[in-house]
Amino acid sequence: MRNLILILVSLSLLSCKARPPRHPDEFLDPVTAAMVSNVTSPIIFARAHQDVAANARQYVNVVAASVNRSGHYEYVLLVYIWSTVDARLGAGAHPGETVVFLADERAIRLQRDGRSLREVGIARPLLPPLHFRGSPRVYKTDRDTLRFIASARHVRLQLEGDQDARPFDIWTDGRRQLGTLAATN
Amino acid sequence: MRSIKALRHLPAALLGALVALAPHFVTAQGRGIGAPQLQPQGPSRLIDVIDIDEKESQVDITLQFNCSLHYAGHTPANEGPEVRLRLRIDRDCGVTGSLAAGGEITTEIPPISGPRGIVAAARLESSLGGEVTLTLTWAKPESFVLAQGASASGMRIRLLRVHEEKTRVLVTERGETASNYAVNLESQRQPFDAGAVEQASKRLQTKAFVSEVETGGEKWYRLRAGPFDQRTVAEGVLRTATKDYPRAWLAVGDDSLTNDPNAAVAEPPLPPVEQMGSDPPLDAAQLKSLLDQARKAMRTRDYPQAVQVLTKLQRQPEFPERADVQEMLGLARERSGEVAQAKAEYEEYLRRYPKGPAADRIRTRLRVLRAASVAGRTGSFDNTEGADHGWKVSGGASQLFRRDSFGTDLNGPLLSTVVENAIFTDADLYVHKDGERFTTGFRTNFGYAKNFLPRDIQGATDRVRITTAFFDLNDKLLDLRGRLGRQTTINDGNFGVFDGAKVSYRFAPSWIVRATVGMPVDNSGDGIETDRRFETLAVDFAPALSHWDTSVYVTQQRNDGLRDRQAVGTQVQYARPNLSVVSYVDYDTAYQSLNALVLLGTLQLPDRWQLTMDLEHRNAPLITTENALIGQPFTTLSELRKIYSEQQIADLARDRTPVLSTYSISALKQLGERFQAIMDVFYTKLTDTPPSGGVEEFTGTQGNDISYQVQLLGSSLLRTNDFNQVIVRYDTTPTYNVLGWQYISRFPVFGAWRAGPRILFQRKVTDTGYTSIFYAPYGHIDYQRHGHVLEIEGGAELGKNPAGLEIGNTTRLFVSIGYRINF
Repeated sequence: MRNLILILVSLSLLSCKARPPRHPDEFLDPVTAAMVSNVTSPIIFARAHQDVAANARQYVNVVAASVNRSGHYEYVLLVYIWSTVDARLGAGAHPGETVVFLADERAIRLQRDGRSLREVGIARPLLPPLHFRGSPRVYKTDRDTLRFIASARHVRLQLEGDQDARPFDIWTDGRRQLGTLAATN
Repeated sequence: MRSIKALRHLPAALLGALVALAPHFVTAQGRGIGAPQLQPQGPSRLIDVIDIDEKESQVDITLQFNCSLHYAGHTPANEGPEVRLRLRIDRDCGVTGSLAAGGEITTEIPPISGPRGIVAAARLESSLGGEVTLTLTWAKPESFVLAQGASASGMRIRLLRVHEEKTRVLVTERGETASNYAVNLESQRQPFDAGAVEQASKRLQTKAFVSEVETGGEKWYRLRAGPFDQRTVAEGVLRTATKDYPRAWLAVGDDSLTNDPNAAVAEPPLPPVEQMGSDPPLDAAQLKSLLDQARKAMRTRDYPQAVQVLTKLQRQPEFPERADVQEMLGLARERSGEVAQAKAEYEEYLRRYPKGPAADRIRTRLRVLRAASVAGRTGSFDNTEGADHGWKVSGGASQLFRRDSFGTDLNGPLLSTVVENAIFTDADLYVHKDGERFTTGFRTNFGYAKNFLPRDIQGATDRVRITTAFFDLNDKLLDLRGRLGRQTTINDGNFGVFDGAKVSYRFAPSWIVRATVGMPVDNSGDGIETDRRFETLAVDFAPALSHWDTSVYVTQQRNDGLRDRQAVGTQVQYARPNLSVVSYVDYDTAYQSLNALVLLGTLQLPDRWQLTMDLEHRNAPLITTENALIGQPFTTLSELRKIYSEQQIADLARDRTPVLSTYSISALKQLGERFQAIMDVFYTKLTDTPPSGGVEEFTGTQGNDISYQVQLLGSSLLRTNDFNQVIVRYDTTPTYNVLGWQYISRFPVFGAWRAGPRILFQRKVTDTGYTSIFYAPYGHIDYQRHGHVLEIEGGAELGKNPAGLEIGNTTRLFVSIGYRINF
């Protein structure tokens, strides 16, 4: 019995060991014929982070991906802006096209790419939030920027032109996965 | 005070039932689930009005109740697109029957008074444990603090409107459009020393410099190499730099040495400024006199005069206030529309006082002025020029139809009676003019309840209410504000509706003194009542840039020549992002009785836990001499004085005032993006009151009432923006236990339509062995667009009671249809 307990405790401790982030998902897009790699989990930003009581909250899911077309790599961020707030309040309306990542001391401003997701080389939305309709916003970026965001100590996000000027704070931290994507693609 | 008045004005039959059932109401307990005491009555509502008062840095929302509703908790804690308040109904609300079952409270759409664009919708509906839930939906997400004050006849919610600065993103990455580049080697929050700059320069064989930037409200120092005109050169340096500076990155036109969008605006040479010391020095008294003149001119917005005096001071040799003079001069010129001169004065300040106390804000103003120069090409940067200073009219109107029937099969077949059948019509008007110096306004909120029940039923009459009708004048220059007319208050120790005047004056930046005189009215349908008068003096203190504020008041009220109330009180509130505390104390100095001691705190913990604690100890109702009328066959104190002496009346008032203690603790855990769980424990104790003056003994809670509640909330589960809530609650008291659960949902149907089915189930077991069961399905649909609301609700409440309770099986059916339009 004692041995069994020891084994169970050992297994429990082993399971606690930090696992490295999974290798990015990589697939050949059947529609665009591009090789697409994307993070295994998004960075999720939320507004009003300090108030955990607010069940109704606005979120921004950021999914990084690289698109390899015949050796030409392109890095994009797919941005899903969604909310659990009653849509009739207009909380889901974000007329601005620019997102700003406040990564430590840098304010990395990214202009929305005018291309559709398919034109970028991705046929279907990657890691969309549940119930999200339509296509994500696409922002073109580069590997260094992804690396910088992944290694920044403090990252926030702002939607330029938004009526609510408060930044979004990280809700679910996917920076390790982002760092892995930037390092391996 | 107000609750007693409400008790006095209840129909005699209802009052009799209340006296008999009072302990049960307070403890959310009826004699049985679905009790048949419900009688036809006139139209009534729990919430009289939701009054909005918008100020410069905050919005005060006063919830004016028609009876005592005790605060029992709220979510979210202090921020979000809506707030859901749980309120416990007290005995003076005139609701008989099965409060424990959550029944007999029909959905309300409370009237909203005040400026538009703050509260988008309000809705009150019944909940478990004899509570009601008031949901206020904000027009946009808000930060707020709230707590119930000394009286349960109202509540105040304060929306915190910290002056929203423009986005502080001062750095831009403009891609290929910029012409200058730099390599950012390192960034830190402390300044770099000269050695670091020199070392970087040596390592990279190029110029190095330090720039500053404010990002997300934080100041950063950047060690940089450059600037470079060509990207390829900068990229070459970056490659070299990464060996020693692994976090180096290419900066494109993002500081004043490269291509700061603010600094790079081509500007004509700025006009010269007056030279310091070019005039013979004045003595200290003359300098002080000129300074006073300048400040007065600034206050009165006489900018030409201010510029003239400040320029004189500017020519003086250095003196202690000269930096202030330099800033004021820039400000005066800016406000005079002399932008170029203003910039020159600001730059002179930065040149002469680079570390002066105003240096940071002057840099900001300079940036704004430069940006304004750019923005001027596409439009005005400053909206104040085009501000509309004319009269503005806004308002709204709403109607709510309610029909409610109640039946029991106690005497055989089900016998139903229509207990409410009425249309509530409410209107709100807000007329105001926001001038350069004065804000003038008039606000009124009134309503009419048309009753369709037979006229021979006692209390079933049509009712008119005028809750607010006042003129408001605000002198922004003197910081003096006055109101005259009928208004509502729950501040400064006054609670309810009164006719009178209120004046407030900000005599120092952090201090406001406020005086109120008035005559309370029993209910908003009454005219001016002169038998009661009160006077109140209050002082608010809110230190600048602090997280707390406080208010202290003294108040006294006379009623029919007797001292009704004489109290002192204070309120302190403290709010930080992870902690908020609100505290109220009200003490009656005449009765030497602690009227209310309230402490409500919310603490954010790691891992998305939140803890809320509410400790309340209060007289219920607030002790006043008028409490002596409770249970008496008289309606005024003068009638009572014919029988009792003043001392005896005071003793009766004490005897009729029980003490209510409520303590609750609530823990909340956010689970992922869509779920949260809330666990609550409530403790309630109400003391007994002795028999005296012909009034029977009042039995309190007969021990400790404890409730346990668990809630699970989920959003966007089945459809986008849906809302689901499951509540399980267990109430235990010395005489009965109730187990209940409730499911509440709201989900979009199409367009602006939402549907919201609810279902409630409760099982009650008394200590005498009786078991009652109650279940209630509700259906709700609403349409909401551009602030217009249409709501339809129907429901049934079915009670199954054992024969021994002599209640019979009960059936209640109700329907309500309401709409609100705004203009």
